[in-house]
Amino acid sequence: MSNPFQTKQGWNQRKERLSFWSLRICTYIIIAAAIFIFSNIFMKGVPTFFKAEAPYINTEFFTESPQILSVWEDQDGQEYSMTKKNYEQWIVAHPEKEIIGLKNLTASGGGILGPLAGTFLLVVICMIIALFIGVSASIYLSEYCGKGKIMSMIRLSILNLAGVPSIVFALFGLGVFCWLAPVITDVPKDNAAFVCGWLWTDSYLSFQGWGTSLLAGSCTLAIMVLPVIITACEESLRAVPKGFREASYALGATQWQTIRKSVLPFAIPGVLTASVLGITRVAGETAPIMLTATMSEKSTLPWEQVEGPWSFLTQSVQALPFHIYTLAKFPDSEHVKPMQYGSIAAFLILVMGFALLSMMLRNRLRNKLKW
Amino acid sequence: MKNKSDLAESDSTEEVSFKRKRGFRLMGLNLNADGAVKGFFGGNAYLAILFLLFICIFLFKSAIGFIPGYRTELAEARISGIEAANHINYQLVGYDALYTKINQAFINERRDRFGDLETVVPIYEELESIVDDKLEDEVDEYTELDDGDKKEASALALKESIKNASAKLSREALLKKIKARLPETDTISDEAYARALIYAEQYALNDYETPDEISRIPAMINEQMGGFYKAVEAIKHSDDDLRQIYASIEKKSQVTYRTISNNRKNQESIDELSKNIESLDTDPSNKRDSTRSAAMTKRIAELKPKIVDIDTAENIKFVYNEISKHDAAADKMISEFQVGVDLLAKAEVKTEKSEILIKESSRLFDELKEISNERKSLLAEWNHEKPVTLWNSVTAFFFGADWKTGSDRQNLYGLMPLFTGSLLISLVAMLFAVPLAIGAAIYVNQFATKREAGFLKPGIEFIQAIPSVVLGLFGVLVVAGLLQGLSECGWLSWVPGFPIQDRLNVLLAGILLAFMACPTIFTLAEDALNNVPKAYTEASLAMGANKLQTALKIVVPASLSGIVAAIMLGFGRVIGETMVVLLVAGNKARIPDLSNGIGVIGESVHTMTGIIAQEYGEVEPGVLHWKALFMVGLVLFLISLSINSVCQRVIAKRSK
Repeated sequence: MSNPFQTKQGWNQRKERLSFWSLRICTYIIIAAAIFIFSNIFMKGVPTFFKAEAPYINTEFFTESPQILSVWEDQDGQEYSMTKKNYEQWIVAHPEKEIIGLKNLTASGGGILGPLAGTFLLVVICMIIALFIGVSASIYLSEYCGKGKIMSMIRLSILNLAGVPSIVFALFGLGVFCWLAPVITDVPKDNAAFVCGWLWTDSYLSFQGWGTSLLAGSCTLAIMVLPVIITACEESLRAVPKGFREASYALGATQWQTIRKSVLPFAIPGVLTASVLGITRVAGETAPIMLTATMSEKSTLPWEQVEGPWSFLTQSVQALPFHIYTLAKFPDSEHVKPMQYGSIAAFLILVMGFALLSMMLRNRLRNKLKW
Repeated sequence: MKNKSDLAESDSTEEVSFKRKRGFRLMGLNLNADGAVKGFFGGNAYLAILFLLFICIFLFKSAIGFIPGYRTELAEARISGIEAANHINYQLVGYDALYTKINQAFINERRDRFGDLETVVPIYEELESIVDDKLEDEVDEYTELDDGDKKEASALALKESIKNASAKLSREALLKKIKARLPETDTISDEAYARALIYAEQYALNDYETPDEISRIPAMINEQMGGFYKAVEAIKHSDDDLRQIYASIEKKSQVTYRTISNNRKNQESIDELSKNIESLDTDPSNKRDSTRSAAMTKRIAELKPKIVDIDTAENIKFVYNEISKHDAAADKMISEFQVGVDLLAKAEVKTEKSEILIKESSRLFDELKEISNERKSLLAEWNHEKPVTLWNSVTAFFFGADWKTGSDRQNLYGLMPLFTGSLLISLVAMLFAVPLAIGAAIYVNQFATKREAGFLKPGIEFIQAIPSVVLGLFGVLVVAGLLQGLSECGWLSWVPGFPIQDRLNVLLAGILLAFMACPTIFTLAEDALNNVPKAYTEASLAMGANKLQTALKIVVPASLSGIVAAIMLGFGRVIGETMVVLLVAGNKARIPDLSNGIGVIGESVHTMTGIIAQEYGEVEPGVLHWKALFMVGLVLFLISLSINSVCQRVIAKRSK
C-alpha cells in the first residue's frame, strides 16, 4: 500500500538534506580559508627560519635587525642580493664587475631582532599600565559600586568604547601623547601647547609631547585595551558566587579582607585570561603603534645607546607589525619574499601562541571552576 | 553593595561596642585601611573613566576647529579666484575621462583591424637605432662598394649582422620600449618582428633611407579608420581654448592664494608668539623667562618680513576678464565634441568592446554637457566677494567630492570619496561574510554533532586572532594575484567588473575583510541562537516539525534581533579596520563610479581609516590638515559608537 504522504515527505527530507549540506559547506568554507592562509604562510615562511648547513637554524634572522637590502645584476645577467653592508664589501672585492640596476630595498635584509624586541617592550609596558588601572578599576566597579543607573551607563559606555576602531585611539594617542603630554625640559619647543616654570628649578614644564616614542605607543595601546580588560575582568569577578562574599562577611571580615581572601583567588584565572586576551589584541595591533611609536629603520636595539630610563622610554622603536607593513611596499620583488613570509610567519606564531594560551586557559577555567 | 549595607545596619545597633576603630575621619573620608583600599581602587576606576571621557572630549575639541578653519581657506580660495578655476577644471576633468574612453575605443578598434601592423613602426625604429649605432661601419663599407658579386655577398653579410645585432636586444626590453609608446601592447608577434626586421635591412641597404612603407603605415591606418579617426581628431583639440583659460587663471590666482594664506599663517604665529611673550615674566632678573622671550622676539622679527603686500583687486580683475571668455570656449568645446560624437555615430565599429566604450562615452557626453551648463551658470553667478558661511564649509566637508592634499594647490577636504569607499568595501565584505558566518552559526548550533562543534567553534574563533596587517600583506602577496588570475578566466567573464583593471581593488579588500568579520558575526550569532530557550525547540519538534523547520522557522526568528546585532557589530568592525584597507584598497581618493553598476567592485578606492593612517605623517598639530584628519576620526568614532550602542542594548535586553 502506498503512503499518501510519501512524496511530500521525500521532498521535505530532500530539502532538509540540501539545507544541511549548504550550511555545512558555509562552515567549511570559512575553515578552509583559514587553513589555506595558515598553510600558505607557514609553508613559505618557515623555510626562512632554517638553512641547509649546520646549525640548521637561520640565526641571522633572529639575531640581527632589519637592514637595507641591495639588489643588482652584473654584466653577465647574474643576480645578487645582499644587505647593504655586504654589498659595500663586495664591490671592493670585485672591482671588475659592472653593477646594473642597483636597487636599495628598505628593511628587507637582515633579521627581525629589533622589531621583535620593540614589540615585546611595547606589549610589556602597555600591559603593566593597562592591567594596573584595568584590574583595580574592575574591582572597584564590581565590588564597591552598586548597580545604579549611572554605573550601568558607565559600564555600557566602556563596552561601547571596546568597539571603537583602533585608528581612532591611534589618532588620540598621536594628539595627546606624542604632541601634548608634559615634559620637563630646558628648551621648550615653539609649538608646545603650554609652558610654565617647573617648580623652583631653571627647567620648564612644557606640554610638547613625548614624540614618536615607546612610552607614547604603550600608553596608546593601554588606553585602547583598557575597555577590553575592564569588561573581561569585571565579568570574571561577577562570576564568583555571591555566597562566598556573604560567608566572608558573616565571619566578620572587612570588605577588603573579603575581596582579597574570598573573591580574588577565584577570579584570578579569569583575570589571567583577560590579560592574555589583552596581549593578543595589543600584539596584533598595527595602526596605533604606527602613528605613535615606530620607525622602520633603526640601527640600534632599544637597550643600546640610552642614557637613563627617560631616554629609554622616549626613544622610538621598531615593531614587528610595522616592519611587516613596511615590507608590503615591495609586493613584486622576489628577493624580499623570504623576509616578508618569514616575518609574517614569526608574527603569526607569536600572536597565535597567545591566542591559543587564552583559549586553553578559558577552557580549563570552564571545566575546573564550577559552582 | 547590598550585603555591606545590610551588615552596616546590624553594626550600628548592637555590635558597636566591640568594633575596633582604627584610622580617623577627615572631611567625610574614612582614612582607615579599608577606606584607603577603596580609595585606591576608586581612584583607578575614575582615572580609567576620565581617560575614556577625555578621548571623546579631545576628539571633539581637535576636530571642531576644522569648520571655521576650512571656512577661512575656502574664503581665501574664493577671493583669489581659485574657485573659478576649479569650476573650469571640473569640465576639463569630465572631458579627459570622456576623451580617454573614446581614445581607448579607437585604439581597440585599430588593434582589431590591423593587428600587429602598428607595432611594426616602433619595432622598426628600435632596430633602426641598432643599425645606426652598432653597424654604422659595416653599412658604410657596404655602400662604398660598387655593384657586383662582392656587393651581393656583402649585403648578405650585412643582413646577417643586423639579424644578430637585433637578436641581442631581448624581446622584453623591446616590449618595454614599445609599451611606452603604445601602452596597450601586450606581446610582440613574430610576424611584426620579422616585418620590422626586413624594413630595417632595407634601411641599411638603401644607405640610411627610411623605407616608404614605414612612413606610410600610420597614415594608412588612420586613413582606413576613416570616420573614427576624424572623430578622434575633432575631439582631440576641442578643449584647447578652455584649457588655456584655465591655465592662465590657475597660474595667477595660485600665486595670490599662496601669498594670502602664507600671510595669514605667519600673522597667526606672530600673534601666538606675542601672546606667549606677554604671559612671560618681564623682570630681567628672571633669567629663564628673559632668554625665552628673547628667542621669541627674534622669531617674530624673522616672521614679520615674510608678510608681503598683495593686490588682490588687480588679480581678480584679470580673473573676471578670463571668465568672460569662458562661455565661448566651453561652447566651442561642446560643439566640436558634438561634431566628433556625430562622426563617431556614423563610423563603423566592429569590436564589441569598442561598441560598449562608445555607448558609454555618449552617456558621458550627456553628463559633460550637463556639467558644462551647470558650471557655466555657476561661473556667471560667481562673485569673489560673496561671503563663505560656516554652513558652506560644513557641506563642503561632508559632501565635498574631492580629497586632495599634499600639493601646492588649495587643499580640498571632501569626505565623500572616503566615506563611499569605506561603505562600499564594508558592503562587499558583508555580502560575503553574512551568509557564511550566519550559515556557519546555524550549522554549528543546530545541526553539528557535539564533536564537530567542538572543533569548529574554536577553529572559527581562532581566526579572530590573525593580526590585520598579516592578512593585509597576505592579500597583497597572494590573494591579489589569485583574484586577478581568476578574473581573467574566460568562463568567469559574466561576473560584473571582471576582468579587473586595478590589481588592488574593492573586491579584494571586501574578501579579506569578510574573512575578518566572519568570527565576530559567527560568535555573536551563535550566542544569540544559544540563548533561545530549549522549550521552543522541543515544542516545535513535538509538533512534528523536522530539524530544518525548527531551525529556520522557530530558532532563527526567535533570535533574530541578536543575529541582526551580530551583523551590525561585524559591520562596525569592518568599517573601522585600517591595515587591510590601507594595504589592499588601492588608495585612490575618488568617488567610485557607480554608473558601472556592480562593476564598481573592480575599482581602487580610499577609505576613512586609510586616509588617517596614510597622511598622519604629513601634518603638524594645529594645522588645518590635522584638524581634517581628526574630523574624519570623529566621523568614524560616531559611526562605530552608534552601531555599538544600539547593538549592545539589543544584546543586553536579550540576555535578561
